[in-house]
Amino acid sequence: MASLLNLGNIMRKILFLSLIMLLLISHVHADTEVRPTITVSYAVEPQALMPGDTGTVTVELKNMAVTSDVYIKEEDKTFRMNAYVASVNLGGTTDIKVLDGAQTNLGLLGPGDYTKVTFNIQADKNISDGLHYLTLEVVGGSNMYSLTYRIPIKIDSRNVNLIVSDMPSTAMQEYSILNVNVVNLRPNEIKSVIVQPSGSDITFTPSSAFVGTIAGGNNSTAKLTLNTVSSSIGNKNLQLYATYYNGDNLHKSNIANYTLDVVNRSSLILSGIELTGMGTYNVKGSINNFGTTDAKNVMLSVIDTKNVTPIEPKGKYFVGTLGSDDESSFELSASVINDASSIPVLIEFRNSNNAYTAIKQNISLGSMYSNTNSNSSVNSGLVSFFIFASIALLAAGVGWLIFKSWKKHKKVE
Amino acid sequence: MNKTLEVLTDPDSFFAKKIKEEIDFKPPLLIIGLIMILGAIAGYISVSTIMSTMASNSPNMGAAYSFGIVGSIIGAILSAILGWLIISGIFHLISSIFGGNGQFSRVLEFTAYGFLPSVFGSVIGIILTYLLFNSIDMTSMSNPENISQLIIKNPYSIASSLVGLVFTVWSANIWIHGIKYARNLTFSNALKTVGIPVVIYLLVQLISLIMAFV
Repeated sequence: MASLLNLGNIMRKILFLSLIMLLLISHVHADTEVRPTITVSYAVEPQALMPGDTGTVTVELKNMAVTSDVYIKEEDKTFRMNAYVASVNLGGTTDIKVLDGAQTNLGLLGPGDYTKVTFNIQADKNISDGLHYLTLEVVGGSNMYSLTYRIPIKIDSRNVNLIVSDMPSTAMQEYSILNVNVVNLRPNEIKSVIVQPSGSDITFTPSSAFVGTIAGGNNSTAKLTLNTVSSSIGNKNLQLYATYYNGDNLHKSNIANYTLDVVNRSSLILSGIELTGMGTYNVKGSINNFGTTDAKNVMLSVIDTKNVTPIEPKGKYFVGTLGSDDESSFELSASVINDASSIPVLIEFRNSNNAYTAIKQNISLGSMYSNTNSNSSVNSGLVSFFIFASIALLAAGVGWLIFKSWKKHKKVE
Repeated sequence: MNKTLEVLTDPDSFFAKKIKEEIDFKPPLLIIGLIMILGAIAGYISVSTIMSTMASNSPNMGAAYSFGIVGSIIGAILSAILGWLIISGIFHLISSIFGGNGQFSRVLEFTAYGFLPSVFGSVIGIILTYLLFNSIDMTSMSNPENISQLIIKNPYSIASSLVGLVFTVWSANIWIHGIKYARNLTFSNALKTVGIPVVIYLLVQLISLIMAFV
């Protein structure tokens, strides 16, 4: 009942006199009659139906009389102002069925009293857009006349559209924020709107986003986080659609299709690497947030492998929050066995949704040396080669001396 | 001095002449003394670097620092003397099995000459030790296990071990000729006398070097 009253702007109220008359007092003839005044109003929910939708038509009948009896002095007659409603009937059409029959014997409506009668209706799947009319028939009894009225039902098949205005055509292996605009083209409000994203080799957070109610001719935005951190390189197809209720009818919006090219680039990159030492390396450099979203709780650590051992306390380096386009310096230490060509570094962080992510990057020992301008950097490969070549020469020299001494000894013998 | 250096290039001729002379411990003591000094220098560099790192990470390490330095110097002296005596004793014992005869003092004298390559080896060892500790940033390390792992796996440390092995082979060649004369052995028996302990030592050293990387 209360919902009917809340329909405010969609309720078209009609007021008319169903039965005549008010007070015909004095100077009247003996056949004077006084009848109650009834108002009839209705509401259709949803305001506009889509083909195949079910809805309700609620009719309210109200006795507008203010007193229970009216006394006519000249006639010395008292008239009862109760209104008797014999039946209310809503007639359907070929395109709109009324699922309930006529409601009879509604009884007496006292002065100021009202009653509401609700009918379930269903639009045909092939119904055309526009206004369709149902026939309302109120049959009065006793001192009340009957009436017939046409109730317009609006049919509108326009669906909801999704638009992603900031959809990138290319994405790195990163987190991206997508603003999904849910556009309600319909004249009436839609409820319980939920945006559903999907795609292969990509994930979304949240997996579906609740938008709520969107007024007619309006739009609302859902914010989604697109995760391509672990995606393989190449084109990805992603689809977006929304589910919503038009009245009590569940509908699915038009599907929005997009193509996204994932490129081989992480959002957190290491730059300006300087390596010092030999055997044990001190790694200094910068970590840069190349992506479009903030990275929280960023921490770098040397991965402990067969050939590389982190050296505490510089085995790990906590950076903290790294905003988009932000950078921070870091320092790590690792012990490296001769045949290791790189130092594996694990970069751990949380995205704006607090989701944990870890990416691995290698700091190449060879290439980084050649790139660095640090005077203290030593080419470990060259030095090692020099050292072990010298040992080989030494061993050859000693071998030659031993061979010579043995040869001489044999001659003497 | 030039006569002494002949042992490096022509040990057989050197000991053939030396056996005819009276036992003279001056050159052997000089060689062992040099080994002691060089060993003490290498020990000082190693221990002072490690101890100063540990002292900077934890206060109240002053006493331990001094003890470590003194300990490393005493350790170098003792290991040189004991090494000389033990190796001489082993050669004397094994040569007895092969019918060797001769004074232990002569074995001591001749064995000491075999340490002469180690003098050069120690000089190279000091240079490599210096380079080793200069290549390691130990200021950030407090865990002794990390330090030892770091030292063992360092290329300079590996190079130092390999140089030690090469000079041991050189020493073994001198010892073969020295023991041959000192214990009046055939070349073959002298080779066995020296070869058995030296090969065992070399194998142990090589295995421990390989095991450090497994």
